Amino acid sequence: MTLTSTVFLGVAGMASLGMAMERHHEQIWEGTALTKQRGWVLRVAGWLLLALAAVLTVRLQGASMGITLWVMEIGLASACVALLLSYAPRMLPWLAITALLAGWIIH
Amino acid sequence: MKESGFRQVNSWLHTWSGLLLGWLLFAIFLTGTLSYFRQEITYWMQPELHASQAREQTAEHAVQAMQRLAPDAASWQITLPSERNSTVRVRWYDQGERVTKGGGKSVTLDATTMEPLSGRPTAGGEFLYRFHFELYGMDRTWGRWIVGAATMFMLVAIISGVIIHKKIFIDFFTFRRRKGQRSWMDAHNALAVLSLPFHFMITYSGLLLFMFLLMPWGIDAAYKGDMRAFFSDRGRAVSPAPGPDAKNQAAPARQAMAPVGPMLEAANKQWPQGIASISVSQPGRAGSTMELRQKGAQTLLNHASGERVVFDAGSGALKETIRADVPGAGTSTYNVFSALHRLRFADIWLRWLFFVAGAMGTAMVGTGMILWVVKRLPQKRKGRYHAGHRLVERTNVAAIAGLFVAVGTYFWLNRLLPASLPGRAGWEIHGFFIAWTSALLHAWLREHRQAWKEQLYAVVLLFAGLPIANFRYPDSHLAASIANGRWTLASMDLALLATAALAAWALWYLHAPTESAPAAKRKAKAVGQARQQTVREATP
Repeated sequence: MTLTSTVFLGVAGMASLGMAMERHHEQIWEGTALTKQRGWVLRVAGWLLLALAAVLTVRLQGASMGITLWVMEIGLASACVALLLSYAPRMLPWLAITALLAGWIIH
Repeated sequence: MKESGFRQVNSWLHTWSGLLLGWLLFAIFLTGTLSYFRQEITYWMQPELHASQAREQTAEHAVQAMQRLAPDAASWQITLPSERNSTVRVRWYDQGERVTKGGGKSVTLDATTMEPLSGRPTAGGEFLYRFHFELYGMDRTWGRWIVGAATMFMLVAIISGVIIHKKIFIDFFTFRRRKGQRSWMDAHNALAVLSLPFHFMITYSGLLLFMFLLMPWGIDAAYKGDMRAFFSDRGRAVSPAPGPDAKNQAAPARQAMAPVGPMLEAANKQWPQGIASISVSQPGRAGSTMELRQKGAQTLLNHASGERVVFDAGSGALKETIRADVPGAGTSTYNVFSALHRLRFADIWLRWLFFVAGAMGTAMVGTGMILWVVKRLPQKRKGRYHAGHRLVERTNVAAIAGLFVAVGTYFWLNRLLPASLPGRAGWEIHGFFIAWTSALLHAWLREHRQAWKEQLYAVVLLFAGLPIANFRYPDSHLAASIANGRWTLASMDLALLATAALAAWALWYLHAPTESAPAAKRKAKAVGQARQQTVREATP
């Protein structure tokens, strides 16, 4: 498991949390309402990915360094998600999938 | 007080504390962000050192070079090349000389040839770093008090900002572009919220670093005003005291050193990241020891000091391994925060993460200052424009674009001033302030929008020009640094280009025809409808 793959997990997690929000869901899938179930699944998946990234980063780098890295990385990930939602919202699901795949391949 | 009284009070607090100290905070944030790479900047500012390249044999050769350079010294300190600096920096103390920080004699060596190198005199990144926490041209204590007070206001602004943000979770990922004030607000919010942990940490730890200056009463009471005694006690608790004072001690008898190769190899085997530095006491004499320090760190709790191994330099036998010890809870907390703030420990990836977060913080302060002006635009359009508004909008130009002009000038003077000029390092710094002052005057003399444009043009020219000017130096320019895998130098040039690109983007934005907010809204709606139309038509 490498540090890079944990970054990708963070990106996928943040993207998933973004897709779970009504406003952004509307931006990505115009006209399709966010069902309760779908929102719930996306949210849980997002938090699980973030938690997984945290656990792996701490295991790789120790508690103090790991937590620092994780906080900074998910901050950067959320900034990427925000920018994508502003400039090309429909790309967000693809970002999530790509990040997941990249995380899987590099690990 | 009314219903939303609490939020209103905080809004007032946020606006005015931000306005009062925004300009200073912007400069503190920008120079602080650059300070994450202060060693890299200093290295970049001395092209004479760039030919040096680390080899596998560098450590061994450095020890041999010291035997030539300072055979009679009482101790050697050798800092090996790292990603941050490709040269070997050596320091030695003569027999009987007091060991002090920055004392003794020091030389920079080429990592391959071991020839002494002399870089042009420059304060380098050190100037930006010092400015970040004690400003310049005034008494240090005064500078630190001013920065400390600004930090306090920053903390106030962060907390009140969180309180007045109405939709911190709903708006988490939201940035609505090209909507005038709305966009500035969104940008300010997103920049603040998305790296809020960083902003809070950096401000709080900044205050902690000033703790002994701003709140010395506890120590005053316990140590009866003797700060020196406090720091020496504290130092002893964290790291072992330095060896016995070499003063007045006769040098021990000569004894040849064991080959250093096996000792280095043994250390390298334990430490995948490699060796950071070597220190040798009484080299070439009886009882000589060689201490190797590990590169990087595992934890933030102990000043990230890393592990050390000590060899008997005469026999080459391992004497002891000194683990990085973890101090008590109070000291640990202080250490974590100061380590996080100063980032001495960090590898390149974490350093870049902090740099980006710092840049976001700088932009957050900048957008906040601009937002103050943008919010008052309707009053300007109605002709009810206060002299205070003019003061703020003009000073904003110089505080934001003007500071970039000053930094660009600083780097350019570093390239242009002759190496032999007396007081050269000082002139680079004077140039920085002359440029900044000129930017302020310029902003005052020109029309507001025009002032922004012209200073941004200056930023584009200055920053895009530097990587081009580097082609004068054979080992420093982008093509050479990328070909040789010198990412320290390459990233500095690329960062300069990125800054120029950002300024160009801001210019493009300023040149775009200005639309009133309602007109822009109508247009956006029309575009959206047209897109939906095409989508509907495209799908069968």
